[in-house]
Amino acid sequence: MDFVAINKPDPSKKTICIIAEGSYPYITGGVSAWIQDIISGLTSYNFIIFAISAEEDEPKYSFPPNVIGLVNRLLTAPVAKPQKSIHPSFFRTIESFHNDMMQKKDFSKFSDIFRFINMHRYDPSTLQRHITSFKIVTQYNAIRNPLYPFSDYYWAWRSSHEYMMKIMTWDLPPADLYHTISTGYAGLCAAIAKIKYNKPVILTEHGLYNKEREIDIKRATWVKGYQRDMWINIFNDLSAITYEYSDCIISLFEVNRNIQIAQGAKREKTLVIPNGIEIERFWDLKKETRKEFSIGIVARVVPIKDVKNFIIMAKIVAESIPDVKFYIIGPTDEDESYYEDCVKLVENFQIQDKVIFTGKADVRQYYKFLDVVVLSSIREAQPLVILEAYAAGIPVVSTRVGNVPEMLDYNDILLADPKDSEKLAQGVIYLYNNPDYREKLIAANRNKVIQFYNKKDLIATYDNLYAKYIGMYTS
Amino acid sequence: MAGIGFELYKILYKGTLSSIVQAFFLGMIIVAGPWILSVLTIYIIQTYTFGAIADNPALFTVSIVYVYAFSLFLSGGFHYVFSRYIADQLYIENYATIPSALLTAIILITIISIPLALAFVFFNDFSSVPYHTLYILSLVSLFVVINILWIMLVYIALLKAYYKIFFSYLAGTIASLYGVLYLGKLYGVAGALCGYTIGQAVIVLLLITISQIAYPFKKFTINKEFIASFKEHKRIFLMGCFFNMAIWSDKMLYWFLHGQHIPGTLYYYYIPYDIPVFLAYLTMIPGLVYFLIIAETDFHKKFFEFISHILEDPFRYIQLKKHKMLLSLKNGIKGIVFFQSIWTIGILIKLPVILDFLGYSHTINIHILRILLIAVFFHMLSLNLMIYLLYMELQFEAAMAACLYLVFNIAATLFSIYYFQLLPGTSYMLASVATSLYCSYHLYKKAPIIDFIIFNRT
Repeated sequence: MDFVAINKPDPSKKTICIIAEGSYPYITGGVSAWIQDIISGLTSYNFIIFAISAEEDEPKYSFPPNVIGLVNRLLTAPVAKPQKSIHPSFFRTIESFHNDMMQKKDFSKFSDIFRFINMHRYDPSTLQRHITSFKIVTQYNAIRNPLYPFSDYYWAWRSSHEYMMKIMTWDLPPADLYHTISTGYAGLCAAIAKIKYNKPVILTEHGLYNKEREIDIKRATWVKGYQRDMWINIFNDLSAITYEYSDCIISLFEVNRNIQIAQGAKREKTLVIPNGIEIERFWDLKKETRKEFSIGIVARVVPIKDVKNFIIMAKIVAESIPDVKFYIIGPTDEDESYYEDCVKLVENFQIQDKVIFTGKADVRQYYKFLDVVVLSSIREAQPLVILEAYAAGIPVVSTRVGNVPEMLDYNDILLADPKDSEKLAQGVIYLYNNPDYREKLIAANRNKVIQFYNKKDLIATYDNLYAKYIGMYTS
Repeated sequence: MAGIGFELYKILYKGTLSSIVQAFFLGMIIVAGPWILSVLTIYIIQTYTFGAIADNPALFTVSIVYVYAFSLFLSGGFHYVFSRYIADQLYIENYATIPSALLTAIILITIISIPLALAFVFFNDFSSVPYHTLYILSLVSLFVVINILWIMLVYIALLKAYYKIFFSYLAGTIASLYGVLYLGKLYGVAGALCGYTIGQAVIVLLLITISQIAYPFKKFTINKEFIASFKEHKRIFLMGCFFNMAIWSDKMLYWFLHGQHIPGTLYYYYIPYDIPVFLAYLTMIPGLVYFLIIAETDFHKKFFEFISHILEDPFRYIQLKKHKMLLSLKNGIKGIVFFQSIWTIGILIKLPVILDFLGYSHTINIHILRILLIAVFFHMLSLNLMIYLLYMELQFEAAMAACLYLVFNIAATLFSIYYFQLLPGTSYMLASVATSLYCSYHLYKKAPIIDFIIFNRT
């Protein structure tokens, strides 16, 4: 295990292993910021970060003093010292696991498969190139994909199962509790930690991993034929396995909780803990008044945030409000070609003098003078930006995604369907024309944030949860 | 060679007796045209020497045999890679690269064969041969010409001009015979060899001309892609090398360990084995023709139907195509075995009569010939099985089979010479049987899971 020691562990404290896939500490964003907050807030625990990435990278966060170690596992790295010969009974286990899963939605034999692969360090490539594997694949192909090209099924199986098998050869660092921040591969890691060490597992889902992957897969043009169905099924199954092995399943809001239950999570394990922010950081910002009407989006310039939608909205708003400025606040280097497209779009609309790309910036400097915050995302869970804007006393207009409608009190004036720039613009123009309404909103939002979205409450809740489950497993 | 097989298949399936005879005759030209004609030429020259090579008949015959033997012994790998490259280009319909590949192959084989021939000359003392400069020049030229002729033989399988090809052979053979007679009278063995070489060169030139009409050279370029393909097809290369070496190794061991020697030269020959071998080889022709026209052609069709559907069709459909291909494979092998065994058994029964007719009944040990007939049966079978292995992309197994053939043949020949005093040909027969079994085993094991193998390789 490539364990990198970060800070000296405090032996008197319990250790939490945070399992994060494609986020902390290598990718910045809402989820990563949330993890950083949890770690910094819970100083009474040691933390180990178990990160799953596609490639080597440099951490984007400075670790709090209670982070004692980091393990970065690459999905693309080969299995070290794999065993080549495969026990014939392994394939029987594989078959009975798949039969149970397909017929009864029963994932309990997963632990048998894991034990085989992990104990023997089976090489995924050797496993997948075994004649018995091929026979099993053709059997399931006959059931699931009898009418379409076999090669699609085969390749979907090869690529999807390779990563899962590889993960099952991994060893997680020992800890007192495993906290996974999503289902998917991270969830799989949590499940195997549970089987191996019999320690509690907590799952916090910000969005819904399998649903997000489903959207990605449906949009990807290179995923052909049955490949799409198989990948979607696999991500659904990975979620189900994670639910099965988690002691506590947390979502940020009620709608997601209900979906988790519908997907097989046991109701008694589920819990809603909304996001929280450090209200004080935004509460006392000294407001600046600017002569122009200032509209901002706080987001990384990436497709999922649909910054183009924001720019189109800007064009429409600029036609109605003469003295207006738009701020796109967030890093532009994550998807440079998308950023370039956005810049070109601004130029084509000839609104360069009104739109400003700030790059990575301290948002608080902008909250001082912004009149409206807009969120144009295609997908969100419970965006922290809205909470920050509320705390800073700025009304929000947003697309109808994730928990946003609830956060905006299902206010039709402020909500637009994803991609509906026209409706977003109408919301902004309405707020511009109705300053009294704006004031009302600001007051109501501030109360809400204090009541429901205070980071102190969030940290305290997780502190209690950690203690509760560690206690349960020690006694 | 399946491309030409299709054409013959069409003729064959006209269904009349004459069409069957025609198809087999044309198939024979393609499979064994120059080979039969050279054996025939040597036979005619030897039997009716006409005084042309009266001063040293052994030297003349052995020179030609050495040229054929060593050119095949050394260039087997080259032929298989060339053949595969051409087949690939035809499959992807990239016809433009074909003439330049031929040119490159001819240039390469010329560059390789000249120093080899010169090295051979260097280790010999031909000073006692009358007109020895002419002899040396003719010998080196013949080695180059024959090497090019093998390349042309692979290449002309593409062309549908059977009769033109046949008449090229015929013209060359007549030129050879006439050359041997005319120049032999003037300059003895050296002249005869020169005359023979000129006749073979005529064949090569005529074949190049015919191929030039079908696929003309447009630009004088070296095909680097063809040269690079040796790296990709190293297993095919090894298979070809090992196979040709294997089938010649026992003959050569008999030459060098048991044979007579022509003084001053490295020439050895072993008449009790050499003549039966050449006669026995001729019996392979029907099996090879059957393979070309029927077995391979049908298999080729079924194989490509399978392979072109594997990526695009549902599993059941792939299985259907696979079963059709396997059926064709099974029927093909059955057909070859049946057809060739009838032929071989027939000859075995009537052997004394045949030998009498050919005038060999006193000079040839009939037991050796019997063993060789069986050996040749399995030799032909293992060659065809190896070609099936190559189709199935089981190149490693094919190379291993050829390697086994070589090692087995050498070891068994040495054992039979030094320890058991078995009849010549026994080792060759055992090696051929072992290789056939080895190839059959791998085909039996791996052909039914060809889909698995293909998916695993990609």
